[in-house]
Amino acid sequence: MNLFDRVLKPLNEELGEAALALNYKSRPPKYPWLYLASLLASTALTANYFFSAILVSPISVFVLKDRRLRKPLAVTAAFSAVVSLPILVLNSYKFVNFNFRVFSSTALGLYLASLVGWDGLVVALKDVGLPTEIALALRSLPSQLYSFLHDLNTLVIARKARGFDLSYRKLWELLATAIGSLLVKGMIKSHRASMALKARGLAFITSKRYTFPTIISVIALGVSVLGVVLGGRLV
Amino acid sequence: MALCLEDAWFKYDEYVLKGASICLSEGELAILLGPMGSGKSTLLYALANLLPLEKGRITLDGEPFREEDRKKVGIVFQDPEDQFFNVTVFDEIAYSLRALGFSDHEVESKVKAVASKLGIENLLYKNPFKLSYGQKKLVALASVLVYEPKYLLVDEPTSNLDKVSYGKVMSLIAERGALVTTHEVDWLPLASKVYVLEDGKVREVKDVVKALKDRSLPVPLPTSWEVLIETLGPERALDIMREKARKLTVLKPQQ
Repeated sequence: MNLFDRVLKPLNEELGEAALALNYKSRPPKYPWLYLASLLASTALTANYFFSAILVSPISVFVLKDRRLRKPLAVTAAFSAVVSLPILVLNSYKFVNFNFRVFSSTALGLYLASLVGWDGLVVALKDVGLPTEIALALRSLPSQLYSFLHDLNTLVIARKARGFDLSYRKLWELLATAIGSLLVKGMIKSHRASMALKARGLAFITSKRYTFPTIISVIALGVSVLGVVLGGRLV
Repeated sequence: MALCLEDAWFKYDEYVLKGASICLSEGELAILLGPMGSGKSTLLYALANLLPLEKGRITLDGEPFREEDRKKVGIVFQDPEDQFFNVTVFDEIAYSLRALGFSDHEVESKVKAVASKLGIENLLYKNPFKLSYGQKKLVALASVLVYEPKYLLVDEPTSNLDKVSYGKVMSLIAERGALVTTHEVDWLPLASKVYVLEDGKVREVKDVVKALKDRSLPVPLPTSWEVLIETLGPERALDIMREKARKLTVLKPQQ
């Protein structure tokens, strides 16, 4: 068993499932005001993250209780921890701060997606003026991520079947060389998926179906984006 | 009542459509033939108003195509994976119905009905990306047939299907009418109109028998067809092909 089988394949599958989990339908809203307050706290007040943590924790508990939400959250948190390891060497405070922000905004984002559904969110964004092309790309993003990983998996298996050496060093070489063609393939696929979305529905959804929770979520998302951009400099 | 594309010009790196015009009448089965890479899929995208044309006009029932007309035109892509964006087959098929505002109960019954027609009831709760190619094709078709668009455009619907699914798909499409791009000559006897896309332009084949005689259709004929045409003549051969198509689809083919 090589590196791909042991590490990349399960990670690939987990990521794929996490991406697809984002796709699910809306459920009745729960505590939208609490959500909004927590979102504000986590994004605008992250400089003082211990204080934010107190506000974010109810949402995190809610997210962690849901099996479908737990997985994407865990995968994102693990990724975040790995990529921020170099920061740990330099500054442990920044490491905790960074991971806290990633964790809290992912938890809140997942809660938001579960509130109105990914579709609801995209349609609401479209309604408030997001260009249709970007809305289409956003809508197909979770499934396209899955498709991208599926293609990566197929590519590695095809190389293996043709007797390629997939030792640690060779595997990384292969991934590095494949990323360009996979990206091009991904772009073509996203374009087609956006055409399918256009043809099959996004154009004829009306915003009438998305009301109170959607409005709250869109406001919250806007605040969240601002908060992430400003990164705690508001306090 | 027709969906028409008039004088369409479109290019990727070079021009693919150079003044192409085509019309699909409601309920009619038309097939579009053309060599590989001739732009058949592009023509379907253009007809469904999914491409920014350099020049040209799309009309639906005599009026210019509007955004709200999209629900009247369904398009099934050649590669089914290109049109998936949902977690389960059920959600994939239900997507347009939900977008159109059908109730959960209606959505469920319509999805199950179309799935049963295509024999994919057992796939409803599976991930569409994890199915076989043939199953993906059936799911892609179901996701469009379910909302009963007035005009249906289908890109290579029967490639890579097993014999049972092949007949099912053919009969479902032939029954309701569509514009079908294909390389499979089995569609020929069923079609009421045959178009060929060559050098960016569409021409209608008025006399299929003559085209078979001249070998001027841009599709490779199977050896069995060649033998039939050679021994019995194109007219009798076409009759036999019609009979074969009748058996395959359990439908009355066009005369």
